[in-house]
Amino acid sequence: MTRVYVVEPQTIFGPEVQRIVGEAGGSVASMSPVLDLDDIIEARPDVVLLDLDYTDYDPAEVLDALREEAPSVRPIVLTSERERGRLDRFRSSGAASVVSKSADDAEVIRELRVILGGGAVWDARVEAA
Amino acid sequence: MQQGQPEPIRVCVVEAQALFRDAWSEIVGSGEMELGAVAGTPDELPARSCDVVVLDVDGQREPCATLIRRIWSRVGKVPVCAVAMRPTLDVLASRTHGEAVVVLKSAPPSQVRAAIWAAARRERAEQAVPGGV
Repeated sequence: MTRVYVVEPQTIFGPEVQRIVGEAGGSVASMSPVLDLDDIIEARPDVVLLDLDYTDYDPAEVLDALREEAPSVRPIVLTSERERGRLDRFRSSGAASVVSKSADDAEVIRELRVILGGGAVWDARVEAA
Repeated sequence: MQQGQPEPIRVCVVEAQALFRDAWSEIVGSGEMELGAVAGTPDELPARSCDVVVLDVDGQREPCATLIRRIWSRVGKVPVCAVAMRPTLDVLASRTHGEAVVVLKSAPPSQVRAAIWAAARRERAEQAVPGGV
């Protein structure tokens, strides 16, 4: 089972993210409201699911750092971002997939199944941005 | 419902993030509160009455005060509980002006529920500011 490290600053939605990852066939290795690179490296997940809308850092720099420090971990970005330039920057910084929070839970579960199975998803809303 | 028990308060939610709309049934769900509806914007709220509206300010395209007025024009002047990731001046102003009880999304669900209750009773809740902020 694919081990997922979740970074979700909106603590009240943590249990929902855990449910969604579980229904997509993944197992949550760890969940944190803050981005802690050392903790991610220590947890050795297969995938890190990052809600990048509320991080105190530049999201693209976060992805750059992950790629450098934990190259075997696939970063999946969870975002409401619609600005094309920023989304392109996520991709060029090493995001393996981008999932939109404008999608409902059933759609995100379908997308995560593909991602956790080794595929990539660029949500249609993101592509159309 | 058993005789003698008070009616649960009916909670409606404005949540821009479609992914998290279902989460509100778990957050709100208890014998004392029932989830009436979850809408993406104030204009999508059902026109029928809610006892209290929870407004997730993040991801909306307008200031908190404008959103609250939209809610009131849609469902009447009901109490509002504003939830946000950060205590911005915009959000805190709605508390200062007595328009909403404010709670942060980094608070535990029990504290969010308490804030919704406080809003429903039109009382001020202690702000749920997490340690370290």
